[in-house]
Amino acid sequence: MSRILTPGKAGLAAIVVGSAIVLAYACAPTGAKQPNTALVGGNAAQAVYVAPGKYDEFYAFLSGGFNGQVGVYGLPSGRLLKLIPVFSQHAENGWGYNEETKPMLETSYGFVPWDDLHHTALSQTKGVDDGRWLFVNANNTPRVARVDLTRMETEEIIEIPNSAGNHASPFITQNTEYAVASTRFSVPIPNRDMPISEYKQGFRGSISFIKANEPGKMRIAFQLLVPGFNYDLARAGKGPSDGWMFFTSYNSEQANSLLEANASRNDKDFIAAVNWKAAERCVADGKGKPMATEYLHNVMDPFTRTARVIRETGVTTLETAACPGVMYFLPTPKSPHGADVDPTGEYIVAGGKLASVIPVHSFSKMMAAIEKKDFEGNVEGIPVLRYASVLAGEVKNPGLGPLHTEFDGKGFAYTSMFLSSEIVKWKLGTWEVVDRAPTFYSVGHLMIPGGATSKPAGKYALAMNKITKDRFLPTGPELAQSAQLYNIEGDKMKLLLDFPTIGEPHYANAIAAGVIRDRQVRFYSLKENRHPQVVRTERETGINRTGRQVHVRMAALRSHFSPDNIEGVQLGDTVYFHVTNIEQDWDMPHGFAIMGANTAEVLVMPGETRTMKWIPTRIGVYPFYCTDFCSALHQEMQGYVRVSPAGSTTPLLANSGRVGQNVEATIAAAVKAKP
Amino acid sequence: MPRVTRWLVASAALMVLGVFAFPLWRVTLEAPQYPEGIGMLIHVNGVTGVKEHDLANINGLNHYIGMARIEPDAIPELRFMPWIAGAIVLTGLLVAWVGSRRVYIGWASLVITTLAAGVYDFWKWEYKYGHNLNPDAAIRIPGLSYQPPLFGSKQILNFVANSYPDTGGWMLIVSGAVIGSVLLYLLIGKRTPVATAVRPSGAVTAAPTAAVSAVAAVAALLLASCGTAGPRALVAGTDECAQCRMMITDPRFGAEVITRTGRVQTFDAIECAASYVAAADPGSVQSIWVSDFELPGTWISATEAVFVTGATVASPMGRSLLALAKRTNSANGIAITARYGGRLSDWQTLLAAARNTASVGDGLTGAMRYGH
Repeated sequence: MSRILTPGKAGLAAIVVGSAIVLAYACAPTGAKQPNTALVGGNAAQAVYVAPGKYDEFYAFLSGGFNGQVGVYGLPSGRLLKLIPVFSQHAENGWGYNEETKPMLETSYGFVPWDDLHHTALSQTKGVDDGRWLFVNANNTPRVARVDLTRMETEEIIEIPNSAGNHASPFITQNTEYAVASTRFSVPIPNRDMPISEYKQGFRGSISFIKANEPGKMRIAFQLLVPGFNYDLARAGKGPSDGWMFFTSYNSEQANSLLEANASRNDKDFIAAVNWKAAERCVADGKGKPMATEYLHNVMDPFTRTARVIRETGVTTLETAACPGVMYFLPTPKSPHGADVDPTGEYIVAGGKLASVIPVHSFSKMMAAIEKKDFEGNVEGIPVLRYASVLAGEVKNPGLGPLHTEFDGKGFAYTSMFLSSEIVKWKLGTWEVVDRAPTFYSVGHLMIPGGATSKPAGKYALAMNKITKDRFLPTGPELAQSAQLYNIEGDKMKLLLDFPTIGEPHYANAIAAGVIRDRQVRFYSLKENRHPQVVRTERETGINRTGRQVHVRMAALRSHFSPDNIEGVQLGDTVYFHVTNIEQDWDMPHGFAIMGANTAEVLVMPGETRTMKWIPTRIGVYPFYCTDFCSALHQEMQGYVRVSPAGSTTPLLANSGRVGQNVEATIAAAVKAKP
Repeated sequence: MPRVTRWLVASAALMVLGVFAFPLWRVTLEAPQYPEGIGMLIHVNGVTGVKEHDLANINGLNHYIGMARIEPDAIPELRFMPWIAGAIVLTGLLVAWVGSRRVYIGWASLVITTLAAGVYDFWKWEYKYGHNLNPDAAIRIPGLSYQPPLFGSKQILNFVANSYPDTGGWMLIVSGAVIGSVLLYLLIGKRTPVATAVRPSGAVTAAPTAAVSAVAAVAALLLASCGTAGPRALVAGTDECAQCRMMITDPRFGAEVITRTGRVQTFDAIECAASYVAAADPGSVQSIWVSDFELPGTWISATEAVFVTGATVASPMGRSLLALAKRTNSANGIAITARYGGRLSDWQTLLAAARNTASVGDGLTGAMRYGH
């Protein structure tokens, strides 16, 4: 009987259990439904509020990752100011669709409409951001682009031969002598048909140094051929370490399959220290070897505002063996990502994403070890320095998954921790962790304005998070990435702001707004427009036919197109609308779109000429119109093209009309029609 | 002529050289869409934009309202004005050197006439540009002209046009004032010969004094001309009420008070204007204008308007207060109250009501209470 509950006991038990369930429900944390907001500082709203009509303190250039673009944001507000299309077609303004910009996306593989834009690097003078250009890389089809910061437009793209997965790129030297480009994926060099299993025998890495300080004249000065590892990120030396470039590498195991396990075996991989000044000397001494290859160099002409493609046929390669002293390996735990040089140029911080410490190498110790030939071995003839000899210190127990370190110029370093999802602040020299701030969630890269230079502006840190989850109103399965802004002026980091970013920012730079704000071009000079089909006045507009091609030279101005009635186009013709915006006024673009065109609109800035290629597929009358709301009579800014059958006798006509003409004719017809 | 006067005349003549170095007049346009400013400069020999492309952009904007393009080549004055200016300088120096009183009087009369003719000519061009409108223009507002002011500011559609002398113009004005005052002094001096003949030392001081007073007179005239401004069009969504600080969204109910200094205060509702006037120093108000409810954009002097309180139409401050011109009633033949309901009132009654409610507290409280 003792094992049977009496009704009284059963009732009691039921009440206890029931209460527990009720309590459990009542006390269940509801936090899961609401993001964590408790960490925001008291005056955060004030700190990021930029009043209407006021400007942000910084321009921030965030790479767009898989959108192939650069996002320009204002800091501290986080407002998106512009998308600069670089490696991806951008239907919004016709980049890569119109005849002038299509050549920018040409490669030796043909037209490539997309790429994965990972890293940004501002041009520097004496180790400080000078605000002239922004360099960015294409990871998938290796290229480096230069964006002009007075127009916020891509002006030059150079393809990188003998490369694959151009990841450690386009990091810049302290006087913009070089931007670099290195293989994340080692490949046969030159690329050829060979078994993948022979990776260790035939696959190699390459590190390209691209002359970067002359606009329109980027060129690959030389390519260093290096062991077949994965070269990941890089940063140039500065001050005492100027002349060196430090690259992280992983997969020293040289696995060619299942890298997540096979490339994570070694306790240490390497930072590759490249003495590029020594490499320059070797090349000057004729130790480089020309290699035949093919790659394209696309340049936007500033006067025709049309891109041209230059086909390059060779590159100078340099074997490390031919140039002793050009490269050393610094053992570094474990599968490192970031290689970050502090503002003084002495410390090289590695973000070993699988390491339990953050190792910091000393440039002076490295030089002393090289002097003493204190090597523990070599890899393909490249000396490997002893870890203990080059180590300045280790940051112990920093967290999990250190990726990337930025500096505030006040003796502190900030490392993003991908796995433990936090920013860790530590002191250079003592290597102690002094503060931690959580990120939401899984921070990838970090950015402090000027953090890559000799003079960081240590006011804000921006975390670029890989995972967004519940930070913003949900938008289906595909979410925006999340950026978080911290104030880092005090002892404690203070979270100020979350803002969504588009694409997937992997890297960013920011620069004081004053450096580039007043250099912004307001419109292009019509006088200096040397496009072959430019019209500078409405009188110069017209139409002509050469064989099956019809060229319309068209003017756009408030609030009409000239000509706006076009006849004589036949089925089978290819029509080129060369639209010149003949205005010379700020913020007065005009757009052009025509029904059924198998392409994007063209958006034409004042003073420039843009061309839409149109192949009509049916006879009929096609309206075209201005797509950018330009004026009170924007809705009247339209026209028609008549398409006749092939062989039709309709004469070629481009009519700008006369004010009142049509209207009068219509009224006359109406009057006549009256009974 | 006394030596000092001759020097004065010579310097006035030389000052005219300023027109070759600096613009005569500066016409600028203000609109929300042009935060960077847009305007043109009138030189002795041409018209240019304040910024490189301003003139072309002004022409572009003007085409919507049918104004003719401003083509400097089509204005013949710009070709011979430099010669006139040069002639004034040279002859002025000559006249000063000769020092003959009679020659001076002749020369100065001619110069003053020329300057006056110049100002008249400028006004005529402004009139021509403002009135000679293309009938095919996209925007046609019957009865509206776009003549910019000669001196002062004027609201023209969404633009405020400011027209003032530039450095060259000011130098010409000062020069003209000096030449004119010397002329006055010489003419007046003739009628009272004792003053100058007996005490030549007096002439030495009298001439500059006359010049200063003439300059002051010109300045006063110019200042007075800006003080006589009329009501301007309310810009919905931009202007705010000077009393309750609300944005003006429906100009049909609007009102304006022009202060003694020429400042235009705008109001979203008549009751706000009444509260403002009730609280204002009586000497500070120049004129009070209310919008004709049936003809928005037409201003009626408050003392001449008919007011409807408690109308069936809701006004911004809730009092359903609207104004109509007196003619409206007879013109339509339908009683105002039949159309709008409510009661008829007049400005004095409204003002008295506003005084009673606004006597305590500040203007804002008064307006709020008045509205309820």
